[in-house]
Amino acid sequence: MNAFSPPALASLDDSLTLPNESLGKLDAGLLIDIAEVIEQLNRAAESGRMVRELVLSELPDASWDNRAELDALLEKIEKINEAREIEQRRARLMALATELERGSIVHRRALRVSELTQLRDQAIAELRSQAASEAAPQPLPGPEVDQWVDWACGLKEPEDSEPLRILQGGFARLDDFVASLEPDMWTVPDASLQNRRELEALIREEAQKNLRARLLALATELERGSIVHHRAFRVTQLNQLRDQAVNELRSQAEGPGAPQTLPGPEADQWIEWACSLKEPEDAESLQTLRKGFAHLDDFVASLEPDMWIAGGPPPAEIPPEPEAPADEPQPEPPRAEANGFEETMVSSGPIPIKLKARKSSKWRRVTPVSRSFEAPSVPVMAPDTLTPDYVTPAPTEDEVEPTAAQKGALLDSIKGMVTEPVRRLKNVVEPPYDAEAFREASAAPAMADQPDEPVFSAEVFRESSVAPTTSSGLKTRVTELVEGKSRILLAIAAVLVLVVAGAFMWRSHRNHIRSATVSASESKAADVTQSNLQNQLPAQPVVATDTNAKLPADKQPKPKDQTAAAKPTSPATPGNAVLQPPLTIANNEARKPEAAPAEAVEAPVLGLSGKVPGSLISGIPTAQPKLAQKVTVSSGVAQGLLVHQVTPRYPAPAREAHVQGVVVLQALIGKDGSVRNLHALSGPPLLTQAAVDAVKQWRYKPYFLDGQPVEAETQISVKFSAP
Amino acid sequence: MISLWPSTISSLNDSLALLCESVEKLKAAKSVDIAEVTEQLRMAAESARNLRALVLSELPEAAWQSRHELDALLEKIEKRVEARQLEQLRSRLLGLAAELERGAIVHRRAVRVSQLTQLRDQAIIELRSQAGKAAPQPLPGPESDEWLDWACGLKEPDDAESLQTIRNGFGHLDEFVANLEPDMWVVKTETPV
Repeated sequence: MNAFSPPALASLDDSLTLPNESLGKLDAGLLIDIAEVIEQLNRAAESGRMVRELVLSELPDASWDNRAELDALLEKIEKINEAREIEQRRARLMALATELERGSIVHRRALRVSELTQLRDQAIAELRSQAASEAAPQPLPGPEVDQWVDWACGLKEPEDSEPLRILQGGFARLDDFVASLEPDMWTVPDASLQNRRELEALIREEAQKNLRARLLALATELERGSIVHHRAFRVTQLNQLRDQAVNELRSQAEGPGAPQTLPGPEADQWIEWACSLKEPEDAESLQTLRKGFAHLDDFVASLEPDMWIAGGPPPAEIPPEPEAPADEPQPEPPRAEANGFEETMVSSGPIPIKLKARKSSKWRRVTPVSRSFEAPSVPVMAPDTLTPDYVTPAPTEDEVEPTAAQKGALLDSIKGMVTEPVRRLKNVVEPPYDAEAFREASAAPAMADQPDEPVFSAEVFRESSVAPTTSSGLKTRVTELVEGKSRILLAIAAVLVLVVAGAFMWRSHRNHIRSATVSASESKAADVTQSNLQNQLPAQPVVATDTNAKLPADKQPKPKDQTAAAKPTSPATPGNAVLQPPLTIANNEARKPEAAPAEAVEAPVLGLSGKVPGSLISGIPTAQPKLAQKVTVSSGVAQGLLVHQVTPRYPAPAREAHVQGVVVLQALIGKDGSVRNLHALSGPPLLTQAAVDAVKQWRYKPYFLDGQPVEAETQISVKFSAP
Repeated sequence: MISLWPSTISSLNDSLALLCESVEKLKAAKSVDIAEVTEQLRMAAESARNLRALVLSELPEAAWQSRHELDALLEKIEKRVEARQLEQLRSRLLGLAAELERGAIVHRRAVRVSQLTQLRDQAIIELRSQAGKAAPQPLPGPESDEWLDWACGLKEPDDAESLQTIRNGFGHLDEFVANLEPDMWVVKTETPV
């Protein structure tokens, strides 16, 4: 009989007692209670199942055929259990030793502490010695180790004589220690508290990580968005606040310390949420925001929800495509949506507007608007009309005070408005003119003497790739009309308009140097008298007309050599009245040296050819520049018109050489939306042809000006990313 | 070894053997088919009941508590049954001898009647001699009043076993019935006075 007798085995044997007796009775031919025997057999079967499970749980591979083998197995299990119990005893002793080590003794007397510490150390040594002994260690009475000292200090004689006896018999040193120790002299650091602190630290760290990511996301969101306002000054202010807020967010996110908590939703909804905060209802959020993100708070406090245009997703890179055989038809990519801006494959990124005074936003989407010259100041003044000009910064307060020349230019621009009723009354049908292009082109020379002026930088001028041409033929015609029968009527109307509009616009534009300058520029284009040009544009090599006074001093030809004067800027159309970009753009990196002649050749397209004597132009103050047949639109506007986009193939040589980069193309969007006059401005040569081949197949919605489709020139950026 | 009621006892023993095997499995905590064990138990109980009935039929007052006591009873019953069977055999031999004495042989030839009568008398002597032995030879066939008819109807080789038994134990009787034809034997019926 084995010593290890689990209850199930005893139950089994008990259950089999009756069947065994019944077997004997049956063997003697005696009567038995069959039902009772069957019940006992069932019990025996259940007990046997339990014994089986017990054995297999200890020895999963065990097998036996009879009771003797089962008994042998049970004996083996008993030994295993004994070894385990000894191991548990050892572990318990070691754990108690560790617990004793963790704890410390506190007492008012150092000597007592020393004594007890010595006893504690002896107890620890005893426990470890017992645990390490080959023989089975003595069983340690009492609860788990974390409660053991309390339990042991609470033992009293004679009630707890049995555990005390075991303790004294097996662990004399430990008994000495706990006999000398009072419960309040023993302190153990709270392990659970330590774990909780670690957990809290982890949670804090994770929360900070998330918060940093959130701050960076909001900074990116702020960078990608655009501010729109009918006042350039306000745009500038808000841009500055925005930049400060972005810097603040980034410094908080990337700084060494813990970032401040940013209330509110995710980055893409944050601006909307922040702009809707009200006091006193949202005082708490506002206070949190103000305390942690003062610049951000300033920004959203100054921002109205309708002044913010969120940026789209950043342009994705073009994955390299396997080079398909030339004769194999290329799969047609999915058509772009109505907005045509499928940024996942090809991004014709916007032309960055670099400003002298401040860093420009990288990504601005602005609704394309008609920029007609007939009402040059209307887009600027209308509060609900947005133009790309308004994303450029306004001058500072010191700069808003118009100069005398600017005031004169403003008056000239007002006078220029008279040309509109003249045009309409005389039913002169003229193609629309790109007011912005003209304004920007005209503004450039005006700003030449103000190199620090942020509004009319060379970069901004670059947006207008070709300056408009003032047609002398047009001026002749207009002159004839003005001198017609309606001269008196027109004069009256002009005076009235002049007085009313002048008063209104002067007040409205006094703080807008840009608008004023634009008006002055337009006025200059309309009224190009030699005298005022000399006042406003000293030494400016910008406007090359048959009026030699517009040429810079160092390049001004002799009065009789008009052709020579026009040659440097428009060699293809000598003698035409062509507005040329300032010389500073020659150094602009976006305008490649080889591209400049091409644009100069194309310059007449924007104007109307024909010769007009300079005297005639200067003598017509209401002369209006010919409306352009072709306009220049920003890449962003062009993207909005894109309806069909073909993904470029990644050329195999470029892919093998890991050549990647952005190919910038100059393109002309035809009236039918097709892409023409495509040529590369920059980019890796290995990628250029692929970009051209793809963009050639793109289709745009026609660009409408005054209800009429016009050709639009733009730049398209195609990004290639190597695998 | 008890040869009494061998089928009943062997049935009990077989059932108990299977049952013991199952109980041993249970004792070793091995899995068993409880339904099968229950059936084995029922069969063993039925066999035990039959054996008990047989014992009590022989010894109505018998009582026992163990297999050993049962075996003693069975032995006693067996001896009793054997003695009874021996007495029945003797009685049967003597009854046949009396039957042969009562009959008469009829034949057209006197010599033949004389021969058969002599054979009959020898068979009667043989039967009475066997009945006087401690262990007389078993006599096959029916009761004595039908025995001659049955014996005259035995044919070789169909009844070779019975003929062989008669020949081995009762040579004269076999010779008599071999010469006797059924129509040559008449039994005198005792007419009431």
